[in-house]
Amino acid sequence: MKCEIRCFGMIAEKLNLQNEEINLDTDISDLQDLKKSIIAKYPSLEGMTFTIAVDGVLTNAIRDKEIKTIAILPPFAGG
Amino acid sequence: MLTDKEIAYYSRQLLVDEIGIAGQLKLKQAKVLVVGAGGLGCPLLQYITAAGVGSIGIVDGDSVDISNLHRQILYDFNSIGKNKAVESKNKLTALNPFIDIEAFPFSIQAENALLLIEKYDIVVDCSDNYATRFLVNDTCVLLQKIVVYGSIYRFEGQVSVFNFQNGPTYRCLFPELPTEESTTNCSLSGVIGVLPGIIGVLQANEVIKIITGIGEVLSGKLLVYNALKNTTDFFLINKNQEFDYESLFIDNQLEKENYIKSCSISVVKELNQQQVLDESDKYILLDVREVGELPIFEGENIVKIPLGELKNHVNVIPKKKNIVVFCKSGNRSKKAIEILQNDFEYDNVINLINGISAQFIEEWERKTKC
Repeated sequence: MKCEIRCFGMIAEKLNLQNEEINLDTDISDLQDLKKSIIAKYPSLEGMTFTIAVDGVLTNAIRDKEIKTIAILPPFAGG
Repeated sequence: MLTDKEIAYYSRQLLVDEIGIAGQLKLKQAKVLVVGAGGLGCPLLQYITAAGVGSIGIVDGDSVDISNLHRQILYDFNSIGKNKAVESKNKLTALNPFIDIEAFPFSIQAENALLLIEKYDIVVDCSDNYATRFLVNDTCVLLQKIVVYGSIYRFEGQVSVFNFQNGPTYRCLFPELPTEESTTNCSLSGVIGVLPGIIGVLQANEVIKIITGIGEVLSGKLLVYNALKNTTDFFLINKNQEFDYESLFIDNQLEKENYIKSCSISVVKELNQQQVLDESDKYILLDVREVGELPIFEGENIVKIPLGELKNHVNVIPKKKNIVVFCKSGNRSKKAIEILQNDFEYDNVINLINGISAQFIEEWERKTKC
């Protein structure tokens, strides 16, 4: 399935990527699966802390199998 | 009750129907603790002070550095070297003499967090490190306080309100403290001054809305602002029911080990400036500040390696001597010690508590010349 990846903060810098369209496995049933496929696609994310928003929602459950956008959000420490 | 002078001071805000006298009285009765009086804390403090939040606590153990002034514009050149909590209190009291401000000139720690936070209704997280952010979040969950969260990285900022009416918390966003080296802060990654200004003002806006009960509070949503694109994204945060907060609390106390372990800070030997000066001939100093950070400190027995480059240049640090590691505040030097101890098996490294000062340099130079 085709979906748009959006990167934020140090993740965008690390991958040198703001957004792009990728092909994603279709048998993703939970967030762990999704995280694994994203790391397989972008191996330099291995070991980094980030959270994933699926179609604008930060959640553990992936209800809709048709994913349109995935946002990869790292925490920011700065203040 | 509002005095005539207060009515004059807040007149333009009182004219806003949604606030009026009733809203102004709610602001006057509110108690807000601000953790960190830096890039986010300064603009936030200026606006909540001027809005008339009646009781404000400011906790910050850091002092004003010349490199803070481009973004922490509450301060001026004369503020350099002064404690941020005390200095911001002085500046803010001049801005609005009708409110009470209390300065706590030390860092929030697992040992003092409960005592600091318990007398306030809202805690604003303007800190600059993950350990403090998790500590503030967890303490507020334990004490059932609202957290107004803001954080920045280069051109981006995040804002949300946590633990509001049993809503999501910081750990619904990030369940565990990051352990990798993504703990960069403004002194390492750089920041343009207006970004913390924008994010701090967004936090102030949430504080005012929560207190007065107007509008929609940014609870259950993460706002992400990008200054370069001038875009604002919102992400819905679902409550993470699986996270076990109980495991963090023992007998209604925070288990401080959680924060120490999670930050991977192992047991670090520490000395204060006087203890180091008393036996200056025993030590070699390691400066892990960035190149050009003031005060400049050069001379014999001083090795200079910025924290980010430590791993590449570790071979110049002698293993047989006692090394005192320092930075501006004592935080980066702690991280350096952790790297030296854990990755390179140094067992002779000591942290300089609260970092370097001009007086220390003067004394060190005098002693080592003798």
